Amino acid sequence: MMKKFISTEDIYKIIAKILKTTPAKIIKTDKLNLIETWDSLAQLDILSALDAKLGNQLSNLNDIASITSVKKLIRIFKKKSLIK
Amino acid sequence: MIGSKISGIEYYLPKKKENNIQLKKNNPKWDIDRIFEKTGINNRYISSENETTIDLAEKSIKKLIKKFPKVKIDFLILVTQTSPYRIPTAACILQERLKFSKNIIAFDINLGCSGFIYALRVATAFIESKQAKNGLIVCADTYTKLISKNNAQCRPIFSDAAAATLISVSKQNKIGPFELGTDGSGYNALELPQGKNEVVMNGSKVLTFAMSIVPLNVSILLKKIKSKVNKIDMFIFHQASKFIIDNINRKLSIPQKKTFENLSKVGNTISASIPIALKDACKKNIKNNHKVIIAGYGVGLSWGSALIKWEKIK
Repeated sequence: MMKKFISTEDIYKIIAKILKTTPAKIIKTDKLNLIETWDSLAQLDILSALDAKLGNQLSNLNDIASITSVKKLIRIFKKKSLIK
Repeated sequence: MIGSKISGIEYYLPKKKENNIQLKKNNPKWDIDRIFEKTGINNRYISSENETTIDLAEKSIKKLIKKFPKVKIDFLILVTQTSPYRIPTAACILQERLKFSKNIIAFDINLGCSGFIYALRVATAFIESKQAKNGLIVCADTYTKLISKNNAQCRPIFSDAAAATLISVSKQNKIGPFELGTDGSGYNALELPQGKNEVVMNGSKVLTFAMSIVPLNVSILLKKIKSKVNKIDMFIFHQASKFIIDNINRKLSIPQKKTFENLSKVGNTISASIPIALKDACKKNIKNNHKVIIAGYGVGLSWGSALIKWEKIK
């Protein structure tokens, strides 16, 4: 199966859609838990949506479960060569 | 060759129910619609103050053995994490209450949501090694005694229940093979911390664990039996939450018609959830000779899956 990638723009778009806000606000705030609409259920939605976008490649990334900083998330994705 | 089969399943649910309206009353700030959307659970069963795990287990076994009056029970495996006794083994108390023979093999297995699969592996080993012909697995827990009404992570999910399963010797083997696993590095994803009386769950950790391990575990089992998702008639997963089951189905590309959920009705009943789901599913969804894959996963972290060639049960 072909490896799927994600762009940083898509990461912000996906998270913004789930948190019912704009990518600009996510970029500015960075820490998702500081956004009013974020909670533990939203975190689950974010993980699931990113995994679906990446064609199930988040399988072994247990280290991202509790990450609420998008910059940190992108750093991990870059290390795993998942960013376009 | 000596094999094993499931001959019967019965379950018992406590009388007291807690639905989402009552949950909202106790927690006015909770977004119940959103919780329901994620958990798929509308009802939880709550054991009464004086009703223990042993009581629930006893009731489920009595319901089951009534259907098999002539069967001699050679072993009794109680799967529980909420025994009212740290000492002695609760299965011994059940032996006495049920007046089972003193020649019975009786012991507890301290596992949660993977417990039924592990117990099934032990039960089939007893039968295959000719140590037993018939035995009971009873999965029973009363987690709600360890979850306060405002525990947002756990209260909407967990439910008390007991399920008794009769495993019998069979000319054709109907149970197995198995794939089992453990990863203690995730022990704190769901725990009752030492000296505390409140279960703590990290929902994100449990989700990423389930999303990563269960599809892989099931894929290994499918490879072992030289089969594919489209050759299996039904997948019965531990009823953790709708969100987790949906994600596992998505990752394994399992069509909805091949999965079963009874979460809304009974909630997450820990190790009892698979036998309860099997019992409910066999009324309509599972037919004779169906190939069924069951998979349990959770606290530990611990997981396991098995193939069952279904034969009509009592």
